Amino acid sequence: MTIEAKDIAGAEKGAHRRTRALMFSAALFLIWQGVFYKWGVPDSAPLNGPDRLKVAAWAVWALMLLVVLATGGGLLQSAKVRALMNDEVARHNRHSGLHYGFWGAMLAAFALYGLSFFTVLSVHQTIHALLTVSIGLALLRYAWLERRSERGE
Amino acid sequence: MANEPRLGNRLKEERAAQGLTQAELALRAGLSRKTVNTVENGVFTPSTTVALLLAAALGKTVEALFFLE
Repeated sequence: MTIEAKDIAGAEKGAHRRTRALMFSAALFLIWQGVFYKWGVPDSAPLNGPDRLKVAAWAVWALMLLVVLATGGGLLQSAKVRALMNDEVARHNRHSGLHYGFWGAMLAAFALYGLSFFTVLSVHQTIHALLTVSIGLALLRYAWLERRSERGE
Repeated sequence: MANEPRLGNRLKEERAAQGLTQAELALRAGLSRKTVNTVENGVFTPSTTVALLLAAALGKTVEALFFLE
């Protein structure tokens, strides 16, 4: 695979855009957790129409962010540009993000377990909190490291 | 190992000696500029593959570019 200057420039631009998008998505995803709880997390099945839509939309969003975490994103770019965007440094940063996400999920699970001794938590609330912490933390760490790498720090 | 050795490099000196920018070296090695930059600054420890690509692009051996501190 011959790399050309335009591929390197495209990858640089794409990686920069990805970092900004990751930062924004992670922040929004974490903030949304608060909004979700304020509006009330559905705690009994079967869900009514608006609740079903709300939960489904959030699940699709979480799934999309997971795909970005799993692949590194840049799926609309050419193979050469995508390979450069997901270079060794980016893969290392992404793995570190996943590592943080895993430990975030473990800590959140223990915290929720402790909380369950004092209050009743619905399955929705529990899954929502676990996914939010793990995906949000993984994305934030990945974005933070990418930002530092771009600056050569 | 109590004091794990760090990987040092002479990438910047060699690149400058050949009058190359980071982007030009990246192009020669088929790597991203970010990889060249982070390896050069010692932020990222490269894999053997990346070390070999950088060495080949500069016409040097890996040992001439990288050393243990």
